[in-house]
Amino acid sequence: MTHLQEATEVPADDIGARLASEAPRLFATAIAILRDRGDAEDAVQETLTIAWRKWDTLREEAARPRWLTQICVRQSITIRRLRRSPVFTLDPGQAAPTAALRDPDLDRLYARLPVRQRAVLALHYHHGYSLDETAALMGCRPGTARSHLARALAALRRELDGGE
Amino acid sequence: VASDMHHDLESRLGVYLAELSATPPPPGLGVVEPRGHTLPRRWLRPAWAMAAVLAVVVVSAVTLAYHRATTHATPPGGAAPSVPSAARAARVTRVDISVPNNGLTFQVARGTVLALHLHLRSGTPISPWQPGGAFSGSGYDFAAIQVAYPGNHPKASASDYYIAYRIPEVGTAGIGIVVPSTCAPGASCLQPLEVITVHAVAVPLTTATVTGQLTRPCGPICLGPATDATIIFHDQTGRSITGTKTDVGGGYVAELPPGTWQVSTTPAALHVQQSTLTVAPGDITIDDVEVRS
Repeated sequence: MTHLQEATEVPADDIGARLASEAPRLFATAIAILRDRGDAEDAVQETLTIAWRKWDTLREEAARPRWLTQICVRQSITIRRLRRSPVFTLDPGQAAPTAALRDPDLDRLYARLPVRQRAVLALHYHHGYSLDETAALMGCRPGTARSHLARALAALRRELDGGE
Repeated sequence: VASDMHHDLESRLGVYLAELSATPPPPGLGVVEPRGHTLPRRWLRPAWAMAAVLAVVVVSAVTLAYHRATTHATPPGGAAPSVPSAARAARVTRVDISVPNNGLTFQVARGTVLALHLHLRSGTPISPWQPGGAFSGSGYDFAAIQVAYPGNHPKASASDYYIAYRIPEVGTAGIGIVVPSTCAPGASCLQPLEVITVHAVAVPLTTATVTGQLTRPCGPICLGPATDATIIFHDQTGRSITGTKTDVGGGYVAELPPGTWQVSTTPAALHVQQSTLTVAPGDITIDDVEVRS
């Protein structure tokens, strides 16, 4: 029998303080995509863990915030996908809504959108990224991001028009 | 009017997303455990900490395409030449295993017994380890089979747990393991407490995986692969192993004990042009077999 791999050590320095300062911003991004506080916490924690381990792989310090956002967006999408598995339904807080919002109709429809469509909406309309930048953050092609945006808007418009 | 509606929806989205993003982050977010790997924060909340925690091993498959030109090994006895016009790739499967939050990614062959040693490195366990079972249903292609832990292992304890699964198929499977809680009922447990190390042990295979394609030679016209046929391997002791029925591409898979095997097929009207094949434990052999009707 062979031990194939063991968990690796991560460096311990002042990176933690820098990451902690970025956490609120990343949390705002994650919750705008995920709309669930618990999922957003997990996405940010995963982001920070990945960033900690791979800190040295990015040499250009000016690109650090964008790099963190990119990891966070992708982790948010991944976590949403993993939440489809039965294990995650064990958390009674999973289905709990976030804090009361002033637009419950839009909130209900937004929750129904696929996570990638929500990511495009959040990054484009809230964070102000262009669709090309949004695509880069999500790891997809610009055309795909445009398609997600068009479908999301069409779905929202259809439901809002139908419900009013 | 359409433009106004579009603008109205965008504005509404902007307000909504700003409100959603203004949700205050939890206190302590950003604290990263500097050693090992942490569990999701939701598992550290009191409601979760009071209950046992479920660790998940997700098993997914990677199918590696090996082009004949680069990886086809000529079997002993001489294989028939391939059909030149057949632009096909024999397929060999490996299994890629990742353990979320524990940073393990490696490949094992299909059929491998995966033995897991989970070690709790922090906190005082207050609940037992338990197998959480193999998941099935949406998102999972097959269920890993829990088997006896291969060989001996140290005595299991509150902090060490040993469990093994066989990976019988290629695809995606989920395995749940209930790990001990270290957070007392009523405690807030804001800091990550559970740090788990997973040692994965792949047991050496005792069989070889043989995969390939049953092809038919091109005469005036190419007949294509032999579909819906069965390949059978016989050894000198009279043992016989039957492979899977060939698919629409003529592909088959068989697990063979080490040794030299003679190849035949059913229906018997198919005459195998190639005769023998020798395999060793752990081999993954691509063996295309030419047959004539």
